[in-house]
Amino acid sequence: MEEYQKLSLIDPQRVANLPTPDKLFLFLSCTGSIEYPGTERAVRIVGEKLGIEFIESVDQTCCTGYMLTCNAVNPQLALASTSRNLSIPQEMGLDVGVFCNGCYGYLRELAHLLHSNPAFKEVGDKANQALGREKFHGHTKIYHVQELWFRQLEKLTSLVKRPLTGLKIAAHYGCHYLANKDVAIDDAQYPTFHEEIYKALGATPVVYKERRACCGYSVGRGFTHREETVLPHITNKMLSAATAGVQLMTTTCPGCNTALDREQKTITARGNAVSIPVIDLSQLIAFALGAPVEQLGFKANTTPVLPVLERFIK
Amino acid sequence: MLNEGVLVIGGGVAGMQAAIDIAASGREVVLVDKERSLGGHVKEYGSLFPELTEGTLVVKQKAQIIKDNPKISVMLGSEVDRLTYADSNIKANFVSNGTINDQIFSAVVIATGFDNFEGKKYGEYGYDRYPGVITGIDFEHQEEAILKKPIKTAVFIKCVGSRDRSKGMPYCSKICCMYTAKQAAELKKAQPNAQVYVFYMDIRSNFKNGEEFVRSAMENQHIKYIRGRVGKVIPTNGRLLIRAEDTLMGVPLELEADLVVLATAMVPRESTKSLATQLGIKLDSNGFISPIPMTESENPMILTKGVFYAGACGFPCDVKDAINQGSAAAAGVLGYLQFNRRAAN
Repeated sequence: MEEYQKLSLIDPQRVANLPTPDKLFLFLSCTGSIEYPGTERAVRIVGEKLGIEFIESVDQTCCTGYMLTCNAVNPQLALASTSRNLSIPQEMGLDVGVFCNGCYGYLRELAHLLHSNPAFKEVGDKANQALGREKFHGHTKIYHVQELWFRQLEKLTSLVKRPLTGLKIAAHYGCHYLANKDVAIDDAQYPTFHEEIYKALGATPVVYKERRACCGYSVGRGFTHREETVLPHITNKMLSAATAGVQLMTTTCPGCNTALDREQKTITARGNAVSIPVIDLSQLIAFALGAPVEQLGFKANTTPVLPVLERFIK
Repeated sequence: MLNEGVLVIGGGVAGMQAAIDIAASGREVVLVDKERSLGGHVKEYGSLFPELTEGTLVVKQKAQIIKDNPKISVMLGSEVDRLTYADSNIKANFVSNGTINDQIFSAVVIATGFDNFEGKKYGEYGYDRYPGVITGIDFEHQEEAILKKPIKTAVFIKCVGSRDRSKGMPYCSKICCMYTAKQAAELKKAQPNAQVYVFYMDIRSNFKNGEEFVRSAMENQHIKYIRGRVGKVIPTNGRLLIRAEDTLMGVPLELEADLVVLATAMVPRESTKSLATQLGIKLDSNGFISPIPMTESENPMILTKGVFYAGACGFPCDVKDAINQGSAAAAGVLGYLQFNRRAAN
């Protein structure tokens, strides 16, 4: 087993440049809020503890990740939707907080295209005009809550009510946040900032062999569920985590969470018994900060979560 | 009064050669280096491709010539922190042991050399984190120990910090193909039973006898060259698991190694940048010294009136090329001084 070592490639300058907002537009995630409603709740709880008020809008639609994936050759629909979605926080004068790596990646990328390509901007402007909305100017900033949590790690540490002493936690970072190499706060190939968060919560970070392997969601779990592609891959990943003694895994992307949590039932049914609960990082933080466990929605998980967390509940 | 002293900044092979050639004509030369001994990077190289000459021998020979010539004064542990024009001369500010003094020179040769790319910028290879992952420079520094320690499998990864725009490193560092072949060959020679792999994207061996050297490493020493990039290095069972792709066969592959050597690139130095900007000399987009166009210069190494350069502060080059550039800069300096003297008379 490889030991987690602190040789950090975290970019302190980028972390320092992150805001500590008191108000943010909360961009809801379809997968997050439907598959694991506890994630959204946890984000609000952690935000509240840090003094961040989250504002949402019923007008917000899909981040367009699925639209773009299904219709990449003709991105007009995705561009128009993003322009419209981002014009909502723009109108409120707020920056955007997301809790899904997918939302983060797609929003950033499409906002960049809208901002830098006049032809694309026109697609968005026309859509907003037809809907009677103001044009999207491209200046709205998009943050993932995981980086905002890390920005205020000291404050989070001081708020811990349930120190997770002895709990062996491993990270699955997901691809869509760290792939934004111009803004992501950590190195895409050897990130460590989730492990720093675990330590702050009193837990023991564990590094497992297949730590940087894909969650499998986008290689077949998501839409088509091609078992022959996905299962050997996720089996390999989860068994390597089990070998390393991982008791709990966290994600920052509901898509990853779905693949890694839900597939364990199939992995077990095919003869490789594995049971490692997978929850969102925000759920873990909210739990450590003392949030009532029934609010964190662990019942939505396929692999039971409470057995590993029970001992921390007074 | 006409000042004819020449300042050479940097005591690597390029600077040493420039000092030797200028002093041979009877001019006074001050050779300054921030380190405690002459020889720059080359004094730490085990051997030089393709003849396998020892790096230290090259440095020793040049250092002896410098020692024997009273016209060259060597200032070690000193740095030039500022260069300014003073009439038709150049004033240099020296910092040595915390004291500052200045001196006027008629010409300056900038031979400030290069730095090595930081291996840890590729998080996926785990440099500085996993024991057994080293850079090509570490290999040179620890050559004796590495060759002695029994190795079953060694993997060399080329182009670490070369030709990778995602890391902001668009250029080819030129020497890594050759030094990798040299190191792989030396390892195989010391340990014939070791399996030695080199992962490459191209083989750029365009030096005299370079292609023959690489071919011999492949064909006579059976070093396995695999075209493809290594994706990840993962510590497993006390060894290093390599995940890569063989792009000629079109298959992903895994192998376990005891030693991983990253062929890191040569990168420009901050000190070059600050000296160049003080004199209004341009740098290219990568941060190396930008020479003036061939059609406009009387000497290949001249940058501006009385200022010349030599060696890897201009662009990555091998040891021979650095020495050649040192000589070329010296020829430029001598021509320049001769012209000034005639003009003064």
